[in-house]
Amino acid sequence: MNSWCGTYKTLGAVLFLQLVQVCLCAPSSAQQPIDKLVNVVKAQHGNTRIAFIKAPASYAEYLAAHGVQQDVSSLVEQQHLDKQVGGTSSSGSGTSAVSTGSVPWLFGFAVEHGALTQSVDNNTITFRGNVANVIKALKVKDYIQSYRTGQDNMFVRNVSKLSFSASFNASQAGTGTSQASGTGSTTNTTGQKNTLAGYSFHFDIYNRRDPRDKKWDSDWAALVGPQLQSVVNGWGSFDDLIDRRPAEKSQWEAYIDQQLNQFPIDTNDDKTIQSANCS
Amino acid sequence: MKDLGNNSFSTGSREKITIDVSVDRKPYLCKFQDPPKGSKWDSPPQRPTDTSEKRFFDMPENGQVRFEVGFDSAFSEDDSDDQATYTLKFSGSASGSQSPTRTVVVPKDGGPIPMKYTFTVT
Repeated sequence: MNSWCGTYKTLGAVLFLQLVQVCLCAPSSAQQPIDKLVNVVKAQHGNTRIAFIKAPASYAEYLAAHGVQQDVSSLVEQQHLDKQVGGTSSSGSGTSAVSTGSVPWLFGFAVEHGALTQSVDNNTITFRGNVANVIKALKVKDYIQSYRTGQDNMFVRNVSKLSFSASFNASQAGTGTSQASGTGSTTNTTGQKNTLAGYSFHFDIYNRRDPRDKKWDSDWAALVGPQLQSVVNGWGSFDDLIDRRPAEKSQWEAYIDQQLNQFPIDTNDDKTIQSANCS
Repeated sequence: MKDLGNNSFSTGSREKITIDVSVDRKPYLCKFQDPPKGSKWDSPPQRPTDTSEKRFFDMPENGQVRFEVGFDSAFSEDDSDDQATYTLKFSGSASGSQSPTRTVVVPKDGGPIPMKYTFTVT
């Protein structure tokens, strides 16, 4: 048993070094976990970026037996009940603004970049907006603050549930069709250029989809807290394991320092990744 | 406390270290290794608020304290945000102590992100 453990630990250290090399040498279009690693590195700045690259635990995920690390937040979101008033838009030149089933909270925030959001589907251009959110975003620039402003005011909170859209046919041969079930939408299929193809209003009776909603605070703490704590403590144990292999650790650190030092300061991230490609 | 770069710091003997963590968007999903290697969190740790948390620990007479911190976030499908930024402010009880800061960015689908912080008595 002791022999097996020793073999296992040695193998773990060797795997660690090899996988780190793989991570550095693989192009960013390779496996998804490597893409994720690259994205995380690119998102960091200064000291944090270097610290992340040099920390063994950053690569622990790749040493996991089956690479299982569930995206808890995504699972929660998929399981969440999100009720929609009315139906979804039809395909093609559908003109309903409610195909996602939720009033997008950030419509208001988009006012800073043009007041409304715009999407193009085939020859149909759809503009969408939310009156309350536009007002809030104009008044309160901070994103979290703008959300709380809505939560703390019943009038704003209720008006925020109302969103609207207007669609225009940009083509000659208009094929604009839209369904009106429960959304109060109308259509115009005259086939002329830039005609109003339809408009709609959508009211959310029930929508707690935003993960920042107060309703989920305790759930996040209860659901994710223990899981994340377990993962973090596991990283600490992994550090202990690495620290017991000082020779391999020193080799690894020297390798990383060598790789990092050879890049010019003015290089960009993509060049850096390419340069590291098994040089 | 003195900032040595990366995530390493030198401290005085038995210096009390404070860490303030905050995030620019909910939910606050940050966890500290418990217990830290070489010390312990002042008990009981302050309960995190919606977007922030404060942690304390005492340096030993000699040696090193290190711990991992995990950072994560959550985004809805229609969320135009694509990242959450955690800010950590470190401070020590010794006179003349520096108060370095660090930021950790959690991109959408990028978490949880591990960060190791090391404090060494010099």
